[in-house]
Amino acid sequence: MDAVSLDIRRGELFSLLGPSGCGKTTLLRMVGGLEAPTAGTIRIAGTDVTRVPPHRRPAHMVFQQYALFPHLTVAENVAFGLRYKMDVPRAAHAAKVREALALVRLAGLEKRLPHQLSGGQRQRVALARALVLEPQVLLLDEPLAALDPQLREEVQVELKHLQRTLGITFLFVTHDREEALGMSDRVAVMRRGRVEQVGTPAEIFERPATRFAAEFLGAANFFPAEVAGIAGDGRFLVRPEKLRLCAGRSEDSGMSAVPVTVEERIYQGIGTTWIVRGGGGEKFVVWEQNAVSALDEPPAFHPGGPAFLCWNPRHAVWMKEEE
Amino acid sequence: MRDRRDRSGWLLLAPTWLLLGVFFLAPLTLTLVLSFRQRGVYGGLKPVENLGGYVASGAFLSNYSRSLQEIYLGIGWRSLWMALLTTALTLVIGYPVAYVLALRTPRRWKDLLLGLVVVPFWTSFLIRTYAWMFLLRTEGLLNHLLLGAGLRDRPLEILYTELAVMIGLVYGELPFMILPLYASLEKLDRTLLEAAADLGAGRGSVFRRVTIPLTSPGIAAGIVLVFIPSLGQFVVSDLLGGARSMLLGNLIQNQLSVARNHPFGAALAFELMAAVLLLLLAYALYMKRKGEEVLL
Repeated sequence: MDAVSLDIRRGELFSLLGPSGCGKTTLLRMVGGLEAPTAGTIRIAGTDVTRVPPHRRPAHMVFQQYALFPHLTVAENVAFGLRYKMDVPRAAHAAKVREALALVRLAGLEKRLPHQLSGGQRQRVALARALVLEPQVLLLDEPLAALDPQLREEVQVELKHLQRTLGITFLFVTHDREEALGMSDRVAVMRRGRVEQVGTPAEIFERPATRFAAEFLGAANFFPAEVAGIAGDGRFLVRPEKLRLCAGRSEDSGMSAVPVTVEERIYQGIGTTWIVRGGGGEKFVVWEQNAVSALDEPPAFHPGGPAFLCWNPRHAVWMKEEE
Repeated sequence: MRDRRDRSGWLLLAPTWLLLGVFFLAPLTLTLVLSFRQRGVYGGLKPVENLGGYVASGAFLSNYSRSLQEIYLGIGWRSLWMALLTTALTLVIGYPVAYVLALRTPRRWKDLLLGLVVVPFWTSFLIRTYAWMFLLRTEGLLNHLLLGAGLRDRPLEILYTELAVMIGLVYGELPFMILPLYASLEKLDRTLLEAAADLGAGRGSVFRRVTIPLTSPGIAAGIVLVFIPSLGQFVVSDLLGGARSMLLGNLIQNQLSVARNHPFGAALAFELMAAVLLLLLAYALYMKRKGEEVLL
């Protein structure tokens, strides 16, 4: 963890995105109080909580493997933290638990034990267990990683909806870029204990600040500066879906174009990926949506044949060379 | 086809049955029969002339009715209390040791420290108990140190008291408590402790509501492993205890050797075994209800 400074706004869904070992989970655990920073401060709603033990912080966690207590029923799991909340009278506990379970659509499963639940249900118990305490910040450590891929998309929508209705700040750790882009209000891209970039999903995807951020968020083509006739130490980034294959330079005015040789055409149903080589042998990737059925309109380019790579200069991102 | 497989199954089990029969069932049956007979005038066994009359008169139960005399019941109660106390003390001492070993010790120290728990097993229990005599006796190491340091002006009289027996029992049984506790604490998912703390539980609360319930199989195993042997102990009480600290184990040993009343000794042994079996049954039922594997 190295000189990380983040400001997370009240009520936003903020993601920490990065490869494993980048420090995102450590950062999350520091906010939860499960790990202590060697230097620096952590504030929640303006209060310095750096030295506050985990059980006194207004932040609760949904663990990656959910960490449900195996010897307690669903209702007992959800009620676990309630007795430590002085402002909730004991008589109100049962109602609170019921409410929380209804919120995550688990009503009726109160008496089950964790091992009798499916992965998705367990995840929702973990969510209810933290939400019933009405935290100011909910910390989620890769909450979708242990779920089936089909379930993941459904839970993404559900989590986002929950966050919006409750208005609680969600701090979300993930290594899955689609999760981060699809759910977050803002994202911090992390690498080796540092924050590389903070911004909205569109900002970090379309205007990545570093080469690492660019590549971690999706496939990226880099063009040497000379291509655009600019002198300088750096390169242009153009994402595959912003590129097109054209027959000639003059096809559309104002477009940048480079001659290339088509190497491979990969038909993927919903789109087609082209792999082409520039004059110097550099490899570029073009992704084209199949807006027209391939049966009606045969491809205009063929492997081995010549083509031009065209793009709107507005979509090119200038990236200075990094040390 | 099915038939043949069934028969081969029995064949595969045969060695086990043979082993159990020869080394377990046969001696047990002999002991049971022995416990129904009576001591002869010069030791040995009094012959039974009329088996029908012997059974009908109820004389075959005389050893068992004798064991209910006050003097023997007293020994039984004392053994029970000593065993219970030993179990409680080893639990109270062993749990913190196992906890620190499993959860608070760096990995590279673990094997060494765990090894130290097991090392005493390399020496005979008898010799280790003798060693306690040298430590505890009036001119022993303990008193030497206490007097030398000026902490006391008269030596402590510990040897040949119930306290000495207690020390010996707790010392001997402690590893049998620590090891199963360690095993269940080691298995404990640490994120559950973090989750409990994150939900607002302080250290004591985490321990009471998560650590203890989740290690209860280890606690139960430790209790069984310590309670049963200490109930039948006779070496410790023989060497470290005085004349008044006779335990059930000593009584049985006495009947089989000095008193040469084998039938009475057999009856006492059977009663002890029945108590132990009841406890094991309770343990197995408890573990089954928990959905845990029965370890013994």
